[in-house]
Amino acid sequence: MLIPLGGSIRAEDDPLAKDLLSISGSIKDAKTGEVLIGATMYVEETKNGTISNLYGFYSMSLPAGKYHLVFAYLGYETYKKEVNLTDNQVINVELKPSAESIDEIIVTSERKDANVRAPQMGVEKLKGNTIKNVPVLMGETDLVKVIQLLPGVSPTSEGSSGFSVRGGNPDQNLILLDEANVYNAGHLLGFFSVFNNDAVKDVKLYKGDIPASNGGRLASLLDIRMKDGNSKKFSGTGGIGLISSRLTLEGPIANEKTSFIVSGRRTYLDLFLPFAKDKEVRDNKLYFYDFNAKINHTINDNNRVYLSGYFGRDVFKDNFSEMNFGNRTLTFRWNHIYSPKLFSNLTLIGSKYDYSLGTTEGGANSFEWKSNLYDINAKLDFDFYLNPNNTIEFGLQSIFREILPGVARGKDENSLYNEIRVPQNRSLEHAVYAQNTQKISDWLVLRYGLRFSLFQNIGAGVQYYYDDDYDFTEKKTYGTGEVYNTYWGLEPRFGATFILNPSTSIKASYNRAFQYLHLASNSTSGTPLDIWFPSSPNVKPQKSDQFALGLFRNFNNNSIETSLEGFYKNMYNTIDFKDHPDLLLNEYLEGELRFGSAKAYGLEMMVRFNRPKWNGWVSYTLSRVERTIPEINNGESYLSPYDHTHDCSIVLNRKLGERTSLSANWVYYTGSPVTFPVGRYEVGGDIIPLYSKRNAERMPNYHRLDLSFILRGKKKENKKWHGEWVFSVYNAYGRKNAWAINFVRDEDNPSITKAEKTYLFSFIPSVTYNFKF
Amino acid sequence: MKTIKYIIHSICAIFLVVLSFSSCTEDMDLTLSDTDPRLVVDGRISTDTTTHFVRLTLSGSYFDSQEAIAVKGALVTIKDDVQTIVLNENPEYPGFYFTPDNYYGLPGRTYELNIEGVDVDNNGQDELYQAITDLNPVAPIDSVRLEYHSVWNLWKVLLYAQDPAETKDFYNFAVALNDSLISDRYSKLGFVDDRFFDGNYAAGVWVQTIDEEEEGIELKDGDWVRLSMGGITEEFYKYLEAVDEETGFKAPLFSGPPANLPGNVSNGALGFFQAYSYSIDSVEFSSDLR
Repeated sequence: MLIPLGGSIRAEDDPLAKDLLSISGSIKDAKTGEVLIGATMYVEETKNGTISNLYGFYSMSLPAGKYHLVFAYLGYETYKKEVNLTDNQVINVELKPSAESIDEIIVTSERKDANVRAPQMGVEKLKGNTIKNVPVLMGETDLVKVIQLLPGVSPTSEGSSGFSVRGGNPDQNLILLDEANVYNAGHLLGFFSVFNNDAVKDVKLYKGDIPASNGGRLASLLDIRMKDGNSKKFSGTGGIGLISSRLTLEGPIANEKTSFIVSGRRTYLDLFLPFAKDKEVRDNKLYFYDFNAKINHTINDNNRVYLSGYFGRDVFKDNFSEMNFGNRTLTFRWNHIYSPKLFSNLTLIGSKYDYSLGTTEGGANSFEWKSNLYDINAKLDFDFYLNPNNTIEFGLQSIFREILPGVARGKDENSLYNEIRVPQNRSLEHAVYAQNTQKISDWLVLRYGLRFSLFQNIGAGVQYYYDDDYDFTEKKTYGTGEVYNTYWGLEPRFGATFILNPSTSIKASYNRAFQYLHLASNSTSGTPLDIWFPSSPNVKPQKSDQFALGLFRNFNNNSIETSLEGFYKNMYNTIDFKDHPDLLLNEYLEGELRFGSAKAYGLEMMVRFNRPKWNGWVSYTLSRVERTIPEINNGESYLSPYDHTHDCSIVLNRKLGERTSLSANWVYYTGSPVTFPVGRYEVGGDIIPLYSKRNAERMPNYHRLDLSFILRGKKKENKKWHGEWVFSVYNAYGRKNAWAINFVRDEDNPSITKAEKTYLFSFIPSVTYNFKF
Repeated sequence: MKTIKYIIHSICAIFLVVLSFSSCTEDMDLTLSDTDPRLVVDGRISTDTTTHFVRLTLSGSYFDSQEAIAVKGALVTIKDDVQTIVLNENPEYPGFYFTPDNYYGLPGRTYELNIEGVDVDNNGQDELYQAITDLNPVAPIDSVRLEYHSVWNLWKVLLYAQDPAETKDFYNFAVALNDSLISDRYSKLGFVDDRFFDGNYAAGVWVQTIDEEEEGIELKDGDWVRLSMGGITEEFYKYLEAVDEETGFKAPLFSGPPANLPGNVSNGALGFFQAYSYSIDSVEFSSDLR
């Protein structure tokens, strides 16, 4: 596959490029050797620029001549170079982190005016080493919690690491860690995300305008890239927190050509259990750990390989039951530069998620239940720098996925239970895509692309069929490799950027997406037991059309960025579940699904400022998302549980002195739609609530203030060890935000019914010590 | 299945213990919307020879802490494949309609409840309500055993019985202590389907639980614990599952959106008319078991 493509595209074949020469190379951090994603190269004479790709590679075509090149990246010293271009030239650049620490900048753009100029909208970028200042629950730095503070993104419920983008369901987010699909991004029933911030280099969230190189989800792409490992010297980072500790080691192996990073984290929440009053609780286990590792080797100027992996596990155990679950991923990548204009990356990925739960001991009522899913994924991507005005990305992808929804059986021979096995399913998902970013003129940049996706259910497997009333009719068995159902879709992507003046632009985009994999989760925040299921003869792929229009304007020499974006999203074949569905260990799961449509629309505003002592942002979202499913709510439209009319976040960082800084964030959103009773009645001795419309009421509005104070160690020359203390408070004014509202009978007088709210966290202080060496 | 439910509850319980240093539950004031009253049917007939009843009430406002309003003066009949009987009101128990005291249901028959002569929506015109149910057979109980769960301080009631192969069977379980019913409402019934042990000999399946602390009782030597096993329909099994969900604790982590119970009465009435066969067995308590 590689060879014919590589052989056929050469600079000489391109008539436009005949008289042009190339400057290409990589842009790296001078201190760690990490490649810089999205650094800029600017040619002063032509006023043209380019940015480095996900692997730090850049390329630019120019006629022969003398040029001044400017390499820049936010937080780094600008580097200028004069070149006399007579032939294709490779210029590898290393940028020095600037002495003036702007480490506190939490959300950064590639270049100072990228907000205005980048031919893309609805994209948010976070830098791994700067997420840590945002105060978070129990001091656990978590990139997902920071993402939730951005416009258009909200948590699925209090403290949850699940998130909803522009009103989409959590399963409509494609979460990739080094391109491997992470199927359950939550630890500890979802209160912490699986991403260890110390191992993360770069985070990008695409809220709808997903590049053609990715697909398969309707709402967003969260693209997380792990660090490659310091290739200059051996170093470490770590932290000791209230509930977990972490350690990361990185460094070169033998020489600068090979480097590694390993990062581990473990919680010790169960250390608190011995203090529990109830002695039975003291022997319980409750912890998670995760482990990231990556190694990369530069073979020569044109070839570099990477191998990275993630392994994480949650463990719960008490005298009666046990449960554990976790993800593991493995990614192999090969960057190959065919020519100064053609960069390729081949990726091979495996990802697995599994869980098991059961009784701790054997015996008559003993029981264990397992579920797992894995995928094998191959991806080939090309960046073709055709000429200064056209950058073409194209590639293809294939995924094989096998899901075993559940198998349950007795734990030993004495058990009474038969084996229950929900049949496994297999599917294939393929895609080819091409996308061009074309600079039409100084004021207009277009980005257009097309992705063709193809989905197939294949044997060996069993498929159940249903009638119009969702009653099971027949079961068909398919042999290994037999394709018994196919869907395909054309996914156009289009974007236009009109640059009105150097500090103002208008952008518009249209995006169609298909989703072939869905999550059976009836709860709003999701659980580790949720089952992914593929499209099938009964389940059509979900589809969405999203339109967005935005105004971007920077002020004060780009130190204040503002944006206003509106979006409108139509979704088809939306999935919801019938009332009281049975989603676990149910071989007739597809009979529990109901299909309809959904639409979401809203307005997102953001003001981001970046001053020497102050930085942060204010974001506000006004939106609505509703579903219409014929069999639910009598066919009337109802609000999605992720509809928050108003959603506002304020994030502030204030540098106090050389060693101290203060951070605060405040979150406010309209309470989630819920269904409350409109009456009650008595049956069988119980008082039963009577409901009318689904999600017609709302939870109380949510708001919360978090604070943190950072104290850094004294700066000394040649000091190897750098430490800092982070003191933080979650929910500083102790607002009792309702996590759940229940309607219960009064214990003293059972004919009285009342409402009861449960809140999870009020005023949680924590302290963390972070270090670097 | 009881065990799965306990496992999930148990895991959530550990988690909530950890959270308990910060989480809390408290009463809250809430204003709820209202709706028109609807007829509520609560009826059951069994294979036992006794007076069976159907109770008719109206639904009320959620925070209206009154006894449900009885619906009087209705014509209530039960028709099986052979006969139709009329149920009679008793002025002492308004809203209750009784069968003769020698009435019993037979497995394999279909029962049809008809309610006439009520005007719930007050439009001057009477409405008709109907519910139809099968009466399924049930296997005999061989024996019952009690086992103490020392971690949670509760008694597991274990069943010994043969589940018939080839059929899909649904059971509910009630326990009584010396003729005083502990499982005195639907949400306290145990219920299982035989999916996990179809055709097997149930040698000690955990089907009911006695929590002495919660019930405010203490088992003593010589006490008798009686287990009754009801052979119920799939429809009623699903109803019980829903009762369990709608009366239990709900939280974003493990509950779906609330929904009305899947009743079996026509014309917009709430409630359920069920028919079941049952078998019983008892075990004498001995403190040696503790």
